Amino acid sequence: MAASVDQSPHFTERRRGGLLIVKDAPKFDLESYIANYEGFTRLARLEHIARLSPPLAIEALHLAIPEAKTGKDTRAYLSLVELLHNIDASDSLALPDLDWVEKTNQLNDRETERLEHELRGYKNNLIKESIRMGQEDIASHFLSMSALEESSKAYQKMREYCTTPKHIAEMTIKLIFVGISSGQWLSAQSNCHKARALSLKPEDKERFDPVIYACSGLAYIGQQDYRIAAQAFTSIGPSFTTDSALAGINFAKQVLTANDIAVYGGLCALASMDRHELQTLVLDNASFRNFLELEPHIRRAISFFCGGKYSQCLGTLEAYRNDYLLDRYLTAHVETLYQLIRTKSIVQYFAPFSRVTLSALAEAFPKPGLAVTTPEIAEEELIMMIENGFLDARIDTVDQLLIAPPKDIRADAHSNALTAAQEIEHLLRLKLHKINMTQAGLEIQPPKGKGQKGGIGGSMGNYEMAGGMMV
Amino acid sequence: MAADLSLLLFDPDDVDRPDAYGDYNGRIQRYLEKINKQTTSSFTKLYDGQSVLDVSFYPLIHTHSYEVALTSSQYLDPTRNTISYAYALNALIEQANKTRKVSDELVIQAASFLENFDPVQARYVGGLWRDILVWFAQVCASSGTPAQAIPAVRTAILRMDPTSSTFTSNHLYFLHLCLQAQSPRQALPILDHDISSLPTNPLKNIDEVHPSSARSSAAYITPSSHISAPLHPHQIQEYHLLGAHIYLGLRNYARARLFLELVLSSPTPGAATPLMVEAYKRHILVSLLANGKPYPVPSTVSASTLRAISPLVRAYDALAETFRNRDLARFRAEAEAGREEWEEDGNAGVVKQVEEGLRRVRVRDLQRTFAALRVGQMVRLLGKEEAETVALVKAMIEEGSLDAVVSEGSGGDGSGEALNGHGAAVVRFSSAKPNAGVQSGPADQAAALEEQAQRIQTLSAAVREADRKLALSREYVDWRRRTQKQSAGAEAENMDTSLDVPGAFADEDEDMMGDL
Repeated sequence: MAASVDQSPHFTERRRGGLLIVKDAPKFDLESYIANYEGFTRLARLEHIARLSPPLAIEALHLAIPEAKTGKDTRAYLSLVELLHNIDASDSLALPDLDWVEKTNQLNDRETERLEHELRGYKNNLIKESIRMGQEDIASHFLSMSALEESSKAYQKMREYCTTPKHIAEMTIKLIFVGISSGQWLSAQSNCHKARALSLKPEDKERFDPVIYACSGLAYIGQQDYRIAAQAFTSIGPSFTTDSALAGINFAKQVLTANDIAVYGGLCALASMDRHELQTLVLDNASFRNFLELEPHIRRAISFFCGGKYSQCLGTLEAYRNDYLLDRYLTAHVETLYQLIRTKSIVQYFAPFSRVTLSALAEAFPKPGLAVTTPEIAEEELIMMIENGFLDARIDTVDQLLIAPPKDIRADAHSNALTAAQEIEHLLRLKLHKINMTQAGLEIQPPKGKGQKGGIGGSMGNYEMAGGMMV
Repeated sequence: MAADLSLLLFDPDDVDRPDAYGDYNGRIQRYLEKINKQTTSSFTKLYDGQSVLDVSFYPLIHTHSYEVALTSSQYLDPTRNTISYAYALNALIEQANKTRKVSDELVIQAASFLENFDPVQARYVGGLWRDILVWFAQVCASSGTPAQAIPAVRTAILRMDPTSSTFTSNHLYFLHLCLQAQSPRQALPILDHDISSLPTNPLKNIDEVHPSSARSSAAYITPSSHISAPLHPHQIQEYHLLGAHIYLGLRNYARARLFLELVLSSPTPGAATPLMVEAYKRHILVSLLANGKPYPVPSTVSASTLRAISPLVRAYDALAETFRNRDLARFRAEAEAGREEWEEDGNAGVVKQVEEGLRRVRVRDLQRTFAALRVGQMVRLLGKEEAETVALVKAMIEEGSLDAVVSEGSGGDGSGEALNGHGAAVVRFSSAKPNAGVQSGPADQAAALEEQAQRIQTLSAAVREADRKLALSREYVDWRRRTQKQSAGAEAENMDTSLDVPGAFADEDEDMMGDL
């Protein structure tokens, strides 16, 4: 069964295109995993898993297709069915229910028309609140059909009819949601900024802030700004999970769960912070600890890193690589994040040494996915790190050593002072020359009658270089 | 006979009064009045069939109240009697020019004058002195041997101003002479001196001193002394540009950079002269050679100047970009594409040098990453022929730009590679810092620092002095008054406050050295 899924047209195609396939099963159980999510995210996550993971593809689609049929999004339904067809054409769900599609499309169109008609009515009555609600209905309708662009436009039109700060906050939150759902990280990001700048009532702010932090963290991951993402995630208050829906959206279920926050925040922090910061900002952070307790292995990895046990830290993370590759938001960043953590670990590992053999390094940091990590492979990686400026060391390829640069602080200070002094002398000379020329009345005059524009061509005739040069 | 000549004579040592030195200036002035009344013919006519410079005579002694002719005879001496000698020589030269007959004797006398004149007396006859200098150089050049004039002219300039710190037209003239003689290295004794002032007229009632008692060359080399011909800004630019070219040829990139930036720093009303464009182009090439990437443009170059220049130097910027990326293939392509432009600018040779420099920089970059590596690997990384790579590394080690050791076949395990020549040879880099060369000891560094601090102090004193002069000038006072009227409170805003720094800096500097 698994073999035939692996050989199916869909995965063969991906393999040929060099695209990612997660061959091995992840640690989580699909059904309990997906039970944490609702709505749009649930479908999107299922589809993501189905596309990447041969062992889980069929199961994921069997969950997703009936789910899609309960909604209004016919395009998502059709694409899921097509995917299943490409994986296992003989499956009972692999044939699209075209009647349902047509009926739903008609219903959707009628609904759109109805809502637009209503909105026109509200607009004629000039009642702001009704217009706002009418707009919101249309936007929500588009959103449920996954027409994200139209939805975003409709939400934006609400702005001028908003009468209280809370309305604006809700509208912004919805725009953030649309931005995240469609992967428009930049727009999600800017809306997060706007939301944070709003002046809300304290009790409202308490409800909004965790959501905004979570969303902006996600948006920063999307823009590969892991450090700020980590800061955002670690600032999320514990009320994130306990609060019910905000502006009609339950973020803890429809966007990212508390477990996700622990994973995203933990990985970003590991990739971007030093040991001290990890200890104070992450492990000792009372509110973030609540999240970390949900994902104990992330907590363990961070503790390992802080304790200087880099191999164990990397090993722990490596065990969960497949899980994270199957995460919709993390999949594109797993490689980068892991590489960053690995690089940092190697730098930290090397810090107390003046020289280390390459074979010892290769042993301490086995390359994931390879049976044996030879010193040559380690060397290649180290060269990359040195050239990119992560590691301040040199390689002796003959004796297979990594050598720390000799540190002579006194000599360094001297030579730095000397360089600085030379620069100062240099600049003083230039200044003196300029003053002298000004004082001697030797400013360059613009050529007469031509204005400044002709400054270059116009004065050409006056200046002649003498003597051919021979050097 | 002797009586005739006595008038021509000024002898600085002929007075035995103790306060004689104080009146030195006055006596020279009186003497100059007297000698100016002489006709040229009194210098050009023959005495006993001999020229005035060859005849011996009895000098007069000047004492309190009377003049006495000495009994022993002597010849006119260029050192003792510089003023008289200059007058006589000049008259003879004028005569020679008229008759177009230049005797070897006269040329030798001119050379002897230039090498032996008394620097203090000569300050009073700057115009004559310069005429002799120029005439002598011209005679040498027109006889096809400009190189012969170099030593005498150089000595003359350095005798007149031992620090050579005030720029004169003679500096540029001398540079041309060296280039004409195709021996740029000969110009170094002058070029190596930093210019710290330009001939300016002293401020009335403030800075005026007698030439004889002036302490710095800036005080006696003034426009009215005629030691320098009137200057134009482009002459100063030309001097620095040519100087930079010479330093570039001698691979002294630090000096070349300084000279080019001096050209770029010329005060302009926003435009740029062709010489500045030239300097900018060369500045890019020099920084690539010396630094591996373009130096930042110094703050003394105005933004409007840069704006005027930048559209004219696109090709050079592109070249710098490929250099910065260490992309040899693309650099070659750019160098090839711009060939006409380089040739037109006279930079083709330098571009070739830069290409060579890129090869070297790539080797030097390796020592950041590696402490030791096999030549085979190096060849792979640089993408070049093996023999070529080894030759390049060895050449770099020999000229001291790379602190490394090449050992043949000491790799141990690479016995198979050892058969095909250098494959197993090992290059070991000693220093992690490129350009560091051989590490100097802490004592050397401290000494170098001390010296540097000294230089900066001298220099900042000069800057302060120049700044003071500028602040006393009429234009500045006018400007000050205007701005004060405009805004009583914030008048200092537009002022270039950085000029105030040197004073403060000198103090700081002393503290710094005290801590060491």
